[in-house]
Amino acid sequence: VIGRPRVARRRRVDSIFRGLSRLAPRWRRDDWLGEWLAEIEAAGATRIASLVFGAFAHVVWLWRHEWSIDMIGTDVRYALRTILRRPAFALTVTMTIAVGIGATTAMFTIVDAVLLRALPFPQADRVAAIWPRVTFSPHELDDAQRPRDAFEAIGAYSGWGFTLTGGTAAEAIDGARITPQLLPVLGVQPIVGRWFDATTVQPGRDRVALIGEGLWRRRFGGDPAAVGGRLMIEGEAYTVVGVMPASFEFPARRSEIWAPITIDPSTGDYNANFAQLIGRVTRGVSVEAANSRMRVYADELHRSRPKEFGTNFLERAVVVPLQSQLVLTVQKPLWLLLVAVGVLLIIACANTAHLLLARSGSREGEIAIRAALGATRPRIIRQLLVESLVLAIAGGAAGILFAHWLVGVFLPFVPDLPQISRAAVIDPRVMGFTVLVVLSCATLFGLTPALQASRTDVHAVLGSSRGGGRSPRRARIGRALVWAEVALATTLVVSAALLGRSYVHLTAVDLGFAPDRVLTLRVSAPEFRYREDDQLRVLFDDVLQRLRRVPGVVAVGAIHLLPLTPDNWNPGVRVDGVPEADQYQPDVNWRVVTPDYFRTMGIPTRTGRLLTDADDQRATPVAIVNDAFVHAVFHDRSAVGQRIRTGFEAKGTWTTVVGVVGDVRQHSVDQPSLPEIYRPFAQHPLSSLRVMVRVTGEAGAAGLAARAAVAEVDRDIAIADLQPLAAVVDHALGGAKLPLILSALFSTAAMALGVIGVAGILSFDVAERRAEIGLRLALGARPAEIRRQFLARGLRLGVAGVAAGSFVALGVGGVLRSLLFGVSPTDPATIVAVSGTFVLVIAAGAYIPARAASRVDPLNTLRT
Amino acid sequence: VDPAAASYLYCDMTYVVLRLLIMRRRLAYSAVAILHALANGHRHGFDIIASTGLTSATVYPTLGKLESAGFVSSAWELPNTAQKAKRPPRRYYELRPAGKRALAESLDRFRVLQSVPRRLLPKPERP
Repeated sequence: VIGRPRVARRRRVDSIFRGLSRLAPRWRRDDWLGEWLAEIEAAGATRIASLVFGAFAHVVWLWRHEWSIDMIGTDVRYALRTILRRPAFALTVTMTIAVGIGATTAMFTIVDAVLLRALPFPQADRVAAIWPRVTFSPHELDDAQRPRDAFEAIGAYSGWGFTLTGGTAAEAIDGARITPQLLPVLGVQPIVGRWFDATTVQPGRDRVALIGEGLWRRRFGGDPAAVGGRLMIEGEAYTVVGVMPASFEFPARRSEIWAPITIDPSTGDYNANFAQLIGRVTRGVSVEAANSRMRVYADELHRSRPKEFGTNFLERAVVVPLQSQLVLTVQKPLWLLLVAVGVLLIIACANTAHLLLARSGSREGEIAIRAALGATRPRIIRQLLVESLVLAIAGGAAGILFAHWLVGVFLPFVPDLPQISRAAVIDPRVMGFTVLVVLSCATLFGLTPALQASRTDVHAVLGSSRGGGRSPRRARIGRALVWAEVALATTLVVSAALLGRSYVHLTAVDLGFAPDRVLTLRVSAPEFRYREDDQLRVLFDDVLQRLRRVPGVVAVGAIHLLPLTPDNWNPGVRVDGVPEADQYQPDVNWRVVTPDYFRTMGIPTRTGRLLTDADDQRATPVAIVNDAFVHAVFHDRSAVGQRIRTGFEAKGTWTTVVGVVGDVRQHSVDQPSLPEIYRPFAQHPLSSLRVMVRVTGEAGAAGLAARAAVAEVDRDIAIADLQPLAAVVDHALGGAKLPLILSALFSTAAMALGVIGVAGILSFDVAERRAEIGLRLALGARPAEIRRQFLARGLRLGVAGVAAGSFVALGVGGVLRSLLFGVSPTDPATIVAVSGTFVLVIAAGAYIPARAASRVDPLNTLRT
Repeated sequence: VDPAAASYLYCDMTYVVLRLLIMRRRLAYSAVAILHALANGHRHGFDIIASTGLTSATVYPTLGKLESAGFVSSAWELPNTAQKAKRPPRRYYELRPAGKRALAESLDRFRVLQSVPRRLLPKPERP
């Protein structure tokens, strides 16, 4: 017999468990409660506390199980089946996401390789460029090394073209002249052999070289015995002391020979500028701190030796991380492109969201049944989110393949930086980024439709005969998404158009010379055979003569540094008869040319005369200067007849200016010309010249004949960089091409997605209102009216989006300013033209569903 | 070949393989003890708790896990039977063949349980 107190107690316990059951997942609640009530009964109402604890643990487990891989797996399976039921839809969504994710991944791969990844040296963050815009003579090393506590080591290097001789044909190989201290700075060990030691910089002991792994395998078959072997460089025997790993690409890609800089104590000219300094900052000292210490020291130098270290120098006496120095010009475009690609991704997400949203209309029935069978709202949201995740993963997988291809397309436009040759691949790090992007995309485009669909009113849907009614709320969200898409796409297209116009302006810049039909080649004399100035004069005279005799050649000239390249020789200049205080302080560009150079290049003469063959070593030293020089140094007064001197000539020698020529763009297309001095080759012979050959036909076609003509003179002459001058111009424009081409690509995709968005939303509209349209047509509405109505709807949406996008473009145009040349970031003409075009394209896109609306068959729709 | 059917088959195969991979994990002591109790004829929660000495906080989640892994199955007692016994209907658990195999594989890891009557276990396969 059960006593009253026991009954009351049982009731209390039951109510506790009934309360607890509310915590259990809804669809498991009854099972759970039944099981535990039986349990209490069996336990005879003893140990209630332990049972409550057990029941609670059971509830927790049920929830955990609900979100376990096992259950999600069920969701995934269901999602896959749902998606595969409509393959066309799945394909559209996957492709849309693939475009977004692919472009983002590709762009991130490049940004990661160039900007985020450390240089391939140990603790690369401690490697800094010292006085990066100043070039040094090795003697200045001592000066730069003075703030010793800030740097563990400072090394100097100078990019160098070596000519390997002794084989069947001379081979030009890039590399560098370096000081032994460069090893502790970069921290890279040879894979075979050893690095230079300090004694190798002394004359007589310096015929040693380090070679790259590639060269080692090519020339020595990867034999470790190569160390100690001989290598003929410019006819001199060098001893190979070590082999550097293939990953060591310093100072540029494809560097394969490193030989020591020789410091001859007998010469000491501070103006013999050629080396660049890099240092390893002491552990515990930041690059910024090293910079401020260097500044203090630079001030001292300036005070003690104002002649050598002018104010000009002070401005440039900085220490910056080597990486930021290397990526200086590409940093901003790359970040902006990453932002642009992010915008494209958002557009793709918005497009997908709106597709899913539109489709959720047709799934209302299914969702209502699930809800009626006990699925809670979170459960439905989860199911729909899993579906979008599956779509996103499929899109991501396709996107990675697409990205792999895109990286290959992008890479040629990225400048030659040591860190990108191997790093620009899709590796686990990039994959990690892609996974993050996929997850955020799935949430981004899945959440709104999922939330929206989970609101489905079970009674309304199951009660009505036809599911998938029209939800004004859903339509509103869909329109907002498409509007945002169009607006964002407009911003991208405006930016791309601005870059395009800027590029057109760049190509229209007067370079100061005529690059068409000019072939250029670097001709280097083997120094061991041509040590004397006279030998060089004879040699190059011969080379130029033979080139002139090649059929089709109009003119041949030479200069020692090619225009539109960063290479520079820039001494200070002094004008005869001007007090020191009034002298022009900045350095000026200094070039050696042969007399025919100006005619070959089509550089116009302003006043005076050009150089002639008579301006040889026996004649008075003469020089030609450019317009910028006359303006800056002589303040636009007559320059002809004036006497000038630079640090490149022997002390006390004055050079007479005999003529003035037009400016050429020396370093890049968008930078104005600098003051420049041209000296005749005969008065200043060098062992390597850039020869320009003007031909009547196509420049590239003359290459072989030119090469043969030079080889006739001497087989040991190395010919390198044989290319049309137009290619050099193209390369100089390359920096502007990267943002242009990529943004054009991204904005085209964005525009397409925007148009698809507008057309898509109209199509769904037409599909939903089929019956209404049929009725109206049956009642006598003209098809043209219907067509106009839908077209107007699409246009309203398009115009609203384009207008908003144009405003955004006006606002964000400022960030583009530094990338633009000759066009304002808020250029009204561009914005108006782009907006107009975009609206027209949207109209064309909207016409397709509008026409479909006008062709609805009234009989057909009314019958069903 | 119907592509839709093929893709369904593919999805299901993947699912089954994944489930198998999940199931391949070693069973914990509590799971083996519960399988063992079931093998010895203890069929519902309280009974299992009493025979294994595990707490209810362990037994129920583990039963859930074993059920979702396909090692045990459960069924509600018929209401008539329960009414006759004047108690709420019980949920009875039963070993499935996969559970018996898993128990046999795991028993030698938990020697303490090895006093189980042999007849309840499937015969070990001979090579």
